[in-house]
Amino acid sequence: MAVSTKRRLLPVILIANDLRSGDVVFYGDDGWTCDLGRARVAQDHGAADDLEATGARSMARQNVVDAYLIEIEPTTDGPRPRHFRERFKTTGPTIYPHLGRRFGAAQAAAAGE
Amino acid sequence: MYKYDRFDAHFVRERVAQFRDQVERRLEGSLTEDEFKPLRLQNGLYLQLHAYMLRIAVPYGVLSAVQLRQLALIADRYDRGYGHFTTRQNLQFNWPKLVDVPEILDLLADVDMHCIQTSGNCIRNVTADQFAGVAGDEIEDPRPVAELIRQWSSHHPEFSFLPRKFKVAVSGAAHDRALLKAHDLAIRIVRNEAGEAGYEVLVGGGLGRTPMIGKVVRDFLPKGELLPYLEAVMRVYNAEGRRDNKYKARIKILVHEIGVEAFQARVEAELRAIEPISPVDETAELARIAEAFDTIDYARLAPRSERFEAARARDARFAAWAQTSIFTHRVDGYAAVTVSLKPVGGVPGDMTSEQMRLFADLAERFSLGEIRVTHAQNLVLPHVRLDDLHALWLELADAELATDNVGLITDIIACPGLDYCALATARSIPIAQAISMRFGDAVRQAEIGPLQIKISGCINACGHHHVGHIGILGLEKRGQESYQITLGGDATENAAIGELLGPGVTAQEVPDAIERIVDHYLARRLADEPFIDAVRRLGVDEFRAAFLGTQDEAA
Amino acid sequence: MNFAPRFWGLRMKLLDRDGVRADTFSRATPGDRDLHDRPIVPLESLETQLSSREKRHVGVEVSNVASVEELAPHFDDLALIAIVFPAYSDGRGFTLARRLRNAGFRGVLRAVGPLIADQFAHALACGFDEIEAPDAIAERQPYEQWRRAGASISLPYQQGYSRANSIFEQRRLARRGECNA
Repeated sequence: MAVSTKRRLLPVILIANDLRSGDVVFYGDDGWTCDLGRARVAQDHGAADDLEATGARSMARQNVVDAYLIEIEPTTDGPRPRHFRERFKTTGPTIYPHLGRRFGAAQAAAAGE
Repeated sequence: MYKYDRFDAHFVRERVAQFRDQVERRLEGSLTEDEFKPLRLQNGLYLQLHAYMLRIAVPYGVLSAVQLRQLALIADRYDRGYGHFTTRQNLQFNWPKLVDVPEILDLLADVDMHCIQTSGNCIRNVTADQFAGVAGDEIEDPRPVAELIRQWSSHHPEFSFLPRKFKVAVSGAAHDRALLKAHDLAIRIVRNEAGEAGYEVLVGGGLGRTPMIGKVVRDFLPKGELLPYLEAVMRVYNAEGRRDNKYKARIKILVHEIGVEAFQARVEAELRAIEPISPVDETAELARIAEAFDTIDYARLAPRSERFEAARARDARFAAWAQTSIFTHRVDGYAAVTVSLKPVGGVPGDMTSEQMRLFADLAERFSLGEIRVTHAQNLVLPHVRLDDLHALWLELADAELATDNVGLITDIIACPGLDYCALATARSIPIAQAISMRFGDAVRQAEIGPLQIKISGCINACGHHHVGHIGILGLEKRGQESYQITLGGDATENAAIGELLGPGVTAQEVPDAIERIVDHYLARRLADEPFIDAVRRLGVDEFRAAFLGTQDEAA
Repeated sequence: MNFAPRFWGLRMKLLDRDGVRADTFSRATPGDRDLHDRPIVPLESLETQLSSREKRHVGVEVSNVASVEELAPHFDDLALIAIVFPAYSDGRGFTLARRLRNAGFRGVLRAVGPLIADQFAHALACGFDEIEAPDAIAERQPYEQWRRAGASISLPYQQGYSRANSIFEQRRLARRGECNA
């Protein structure tokens, strides 16, 4: 769920869907990426505001849709969304573990990206 | 199947070109996402959690083998090899790319299919009884009327920006298999005292946050007068439906707030004000449509098939399957066969592209090329000879499409839920799978008998949980998925909304809770009394006690 | 009731079947001293406007829930009725236009608001003659897009929506042709 500035629990990352493909993407240091591990983590409200503004610009430029901040907890495996809805969003349908996130990653690897 | 004339075909092609243009203008920025959203919704394109979702219209649930093969092709080429059948008789693909959708629409148009108005604040896919045209209790085949409404409502200039979605259903039978009372507008074909066929019109049904049962607003509307009446209803709704609150914007709220009589009066006033330049010659158009439906050349067969009876006698599994799957056809020697898409532990309503192609072949060999989609996320082969049933069953079994659970406890309806849907509050499919596995034993299922479980992953109730014998609603409680269970809902002409049994339980607790309810039924039922009858007779309270585990069961 | 406040001060473009045009009407508010040749006034000023001036082209601007009964007595005196669309998704203006046409209004119907090019066909079919949209939209969606969107469905199904032809009508004619053959 998107969070308002006042009630935002840090840290956060920026999540969106790619406009053309619909893929779930995160904003990282090199721009939008399918890899959750490369998402830029905002540790303070200033950085979070910057991320949000980046999302707004990206949407205005027809790159992504539905960009919003999500709360995460840092783990050794990378950022883990706090809410189960956003976790499902990053993993893909739980009933078809071979689809979604890993499918996308496998495809990207196969395409040599 | 309705056969498109050149006007229908041209319209669908122009619609594809229109959407292609809209996509291009979206990508270059002429259209903002806000402006584009209603346009893409009215071409069936949602944004879900992981990807876009494309909802393909299956008008009144009728599909041909050729069309199903094309859906398989699209699934393989543009999606991830499977599709999902919905509670409104449509098909959904869960992974299309926006940029591919115009091509997908072109492929659909090649087989007279489309995604027109399967979403958005407009008149949606008109659904019907899945046994339309083959049911013995039918006064008249409702499909021509459904097709007339489909055409009349397509790209309607006045009613494309309604307060909210508008769902229409049509039935021509005494027994309601189309959930008429849960629709914004429903039409039941009836006969008056003079024996003439006409329409009973219901308005204001709907599930979701405030479930309501549709009310009769016209006892008898003569044939030939439907379109002006629909126009009047839609005009009142468009003008007066609430637009201040998304959850109060359906026509059911308007009817509830002003009362049925006031609503009827406004519709009649609107009717009087309608002065079309040249009215649609509705009777002639309806006749043209009816004629454009394929005439089925049924063979003249005996009502009883020795081959079928012999197979039933010697093969218990076949007999069990026949028991649940066969619907009596109005033509001697034929049957309509319901094929379950609910394998034990499987995802309800899903079909792989391989299964689709196989099924298309079976439809051509056994069902004159025709298929139906039910409201329970299953399929029907509507014209199967009794003689062929055993051969068909063997082939279905090979394809793992012969689960003998139609109408039984593991024939569960589940919306996509939080595994797919951006609106969901909890997952629904894993709950269905868990219940299915708990009750998977064929003997036990047969013993329990007909029992409809319906699961929704949020308050929008796309899983129709309100009208499930047992309904399950997935919510969130304390950061966890939590499931509320209702009892006593009914989706037939005895429409009823289920009652809440108690506080929500966790996903892990759901199968046990269902067991307690079922065990109580088995302990208290009379002879072969079906589940829903027992609930009505005994009352929800004692089932509530069983659910809560506060009642001591007699041994 | 305020006078289309959200559009007040916004630059707007007027377009119709033939293209973008100059607006020959101009909005007049109570107390407005300018001489408007073709004034568009708010509904509450209409009676005063009609009674105080000599015959001229008068337009009225109304909300999308205005009552036909209130306007009908003035049909003969009104050159234009402008209906405000607060948002493109609010389709009430289409019904109001249709009701006004059904009730016999033959003057100019104008849709005012953030309509998009893809609603051009709907607006024209429901009886509107012209659209007054904010410049911001007109810039993103130049007239060519409106023209193309308006023509994207060459033959619609619905009969009687300000269009010469419909699929239902074509079929009816075809049947008559068959009968006469």
